[in-house]
Amino acid sequence: MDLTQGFLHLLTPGPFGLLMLGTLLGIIVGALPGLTGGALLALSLPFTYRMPSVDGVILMTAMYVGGISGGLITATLMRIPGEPSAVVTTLDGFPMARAGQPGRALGLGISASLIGGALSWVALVTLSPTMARLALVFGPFENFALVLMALVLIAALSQGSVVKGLLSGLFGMLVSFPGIDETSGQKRLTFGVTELDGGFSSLAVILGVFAISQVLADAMHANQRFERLDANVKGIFLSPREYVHQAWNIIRSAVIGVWIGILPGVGASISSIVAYSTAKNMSKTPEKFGTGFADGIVAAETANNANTGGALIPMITLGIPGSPAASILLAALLMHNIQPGPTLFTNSPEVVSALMATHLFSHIVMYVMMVAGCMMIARLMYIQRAYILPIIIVLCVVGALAENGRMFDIWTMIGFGVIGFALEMAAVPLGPFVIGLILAPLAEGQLRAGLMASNGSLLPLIERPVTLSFLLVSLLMFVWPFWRDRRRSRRTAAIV
Amino acid sequence: MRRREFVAGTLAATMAAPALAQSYPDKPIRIIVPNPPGGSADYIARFFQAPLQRVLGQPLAVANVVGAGTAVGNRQVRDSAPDGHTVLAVHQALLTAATLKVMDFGPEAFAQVAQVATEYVAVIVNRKAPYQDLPSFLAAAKSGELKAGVQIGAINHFLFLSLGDATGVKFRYVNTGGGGPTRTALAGGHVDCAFLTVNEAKPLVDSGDLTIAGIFAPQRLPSWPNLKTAREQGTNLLLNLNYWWWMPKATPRDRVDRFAEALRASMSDSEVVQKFAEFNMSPAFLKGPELEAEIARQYEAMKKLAERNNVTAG
Repeated sequence: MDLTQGFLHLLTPGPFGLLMLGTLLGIIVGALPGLTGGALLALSLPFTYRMPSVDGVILMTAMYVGGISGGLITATLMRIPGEPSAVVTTLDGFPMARAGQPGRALGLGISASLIGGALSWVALVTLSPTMARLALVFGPFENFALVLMALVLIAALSQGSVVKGLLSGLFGMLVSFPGIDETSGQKRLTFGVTELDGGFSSLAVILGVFAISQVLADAMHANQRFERLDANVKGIFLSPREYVHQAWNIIRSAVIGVWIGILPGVGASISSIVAYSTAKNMSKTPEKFGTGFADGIVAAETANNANTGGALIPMITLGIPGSPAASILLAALLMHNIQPGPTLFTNSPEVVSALMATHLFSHIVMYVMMVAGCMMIARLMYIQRAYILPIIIVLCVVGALAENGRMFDIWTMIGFGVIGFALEMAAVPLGPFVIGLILAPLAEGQLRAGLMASNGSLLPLIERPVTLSFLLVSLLMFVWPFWRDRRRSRRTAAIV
Repeated sequence: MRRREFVAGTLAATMAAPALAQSYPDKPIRIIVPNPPGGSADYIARFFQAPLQRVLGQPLAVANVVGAGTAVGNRQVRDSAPDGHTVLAVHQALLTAATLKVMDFGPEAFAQVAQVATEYVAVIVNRKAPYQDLPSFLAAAKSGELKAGVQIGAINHFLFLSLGDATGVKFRYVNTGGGGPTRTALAGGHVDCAFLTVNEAKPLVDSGDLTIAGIFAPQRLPSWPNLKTAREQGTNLLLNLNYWWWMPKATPRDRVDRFAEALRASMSDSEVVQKFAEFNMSPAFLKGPELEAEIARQYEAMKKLAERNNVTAG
């Protein structure tokens, strides 16, 4: 396979135009709350079907990269994640933007996205076959232990009261229960309501608790502009010193992002959650997270873009998509009867090189576009909310409807908007809620599959080296914040 | 003015009545696929999209309405206006969902338009396993300890039940999900065997991870001349997926027939012919009473199978 061929092909006007178009559409759709990059990919599937295969791959890969990146815009400026993978970006991005530094908040996110993506590209190009093979070792028990590790992070993500955080996480898990029990194929907790047979759509729930609840909160002061009209977009470019300062955080978050990307069935949202919580847990100043701290934005945005390169690794080497969006990309390839897998490199080298070249190029194009558009985008902060709120509601309705075309999903979204608003009023953090919602079904499914394989024995959890080490790390991560706080309070007490 | 319009309207309506069938379809047609993008059911809908559009002269839109083991999409079609502008593209997944009572309705709730294709399935095993063909696989499975990767209650589960019924072998089921994730679990050695289409298995067969032990087709596939059928290996059993197009129950018969004929015409479209060959699907057109009888037969057999194997919880 010749990579230069892919790059040269991308530099011809037609393919480059597709790359620009895909990236731009991705960013816009990614930034819009409600519409996700995955939905964009699914919607464009019929178009790519009629295109030459290489062009289809270029367009869809660019959309994939753009979509993941665009989510940070609304997450930072409005506290409404444009993509589920940008949920944790809201935690520090929004406080920083609100404190008068929207430019810096966006700049951190955009730069981290570029670097995270570029690092994952290196992994994609150099490590593909090895990493994909390694991921096969991950069976149900390994996946369960990994998800458990992420679930434990709920405690770490709780700002303020740990008890409220845990309750919020449990509530999220509860919401994920109704619908078909995947492991028995039977309905559960639907109370005879046929609309509930498919469960609550997690997209609709996330839109509700983040977007609709935010709209409700904003509507209470709809006529207010933000106080600090003098703020500007200074700080969009990071200084070399800042890069050096963030180097370790970036590398760690990129590794987490790539690895979680490689694992099948675990999406981009989880990589940013894990990277953020790890950064917080390992930080010397964990209390600064959630208050507009640069490290938080960098960790989240590095990881979710690093996820893209990771998710493509098993897709091209084994035909196994590492994320839901990658599975649509895979579908597009299959429709052209291009079978990803080891033979892809010999049978369709032009597809592999186009895909790899696009992954890197669209990150660069994304960076240029987002930095250039930043001035304009950041002004959104200062438009009177009354003009923006109705647009957001319309977009959310469209997004919730686009997923499955069901009115029920819209009611779900509105209902959870009210619930999210109420939780916020009670100072219950929403981060743990979403983690519970997304991770509980994964943890349940993997554990039960594992138990079916082991004939009901839990022993493999401690017999297998990978699961054992994950369990130990989970335990450490769970205990660490409590221990740290106790030690600190003791020390403060001693000083006093 | 009002009155003139009314008269003209009535006149037009009386004159148009016999021509009603010709006027169908008079607006875009929605094809609902109750499975996510990137599975066989989805491919079939998309292969036919453009050819059908040429035959019917109206645009067709494919929408994936996913959830509850196809029940969400199936229900949406069942409850749509019965005017022939909403069509369901489905395979046996609908029958399994009805058998397990995940849905409170079955094939009887639809007008069955046509069947277009059959896709034979194969038993796939890990390349490192001591059994690499069907007889040695079945011999090993006699222990009852082999782990089969399935989605509980879905068609890949029922395929194993059928195999078990025909050969007297029992498997231990592990819920690995649909074709994609199951294939991954098989390659990683987390389960011992799975039912897949040869197309699903191909990348990992090429990589040397998996082996196709036997395909449950009447004869060898042209694109896999060395791949032995189950029959050749002593198991006389055919197992396949059938691709069906259904409409809401009350759809007028002439419209159902018009769409069925459009499907038949599309099957000789070079695009469809080529895709069928690439994906190892066999054209198998059926409509009318023949189709209804075939579906009823399969549904009955499936219900009995579920009963015998005690999977009729619910």
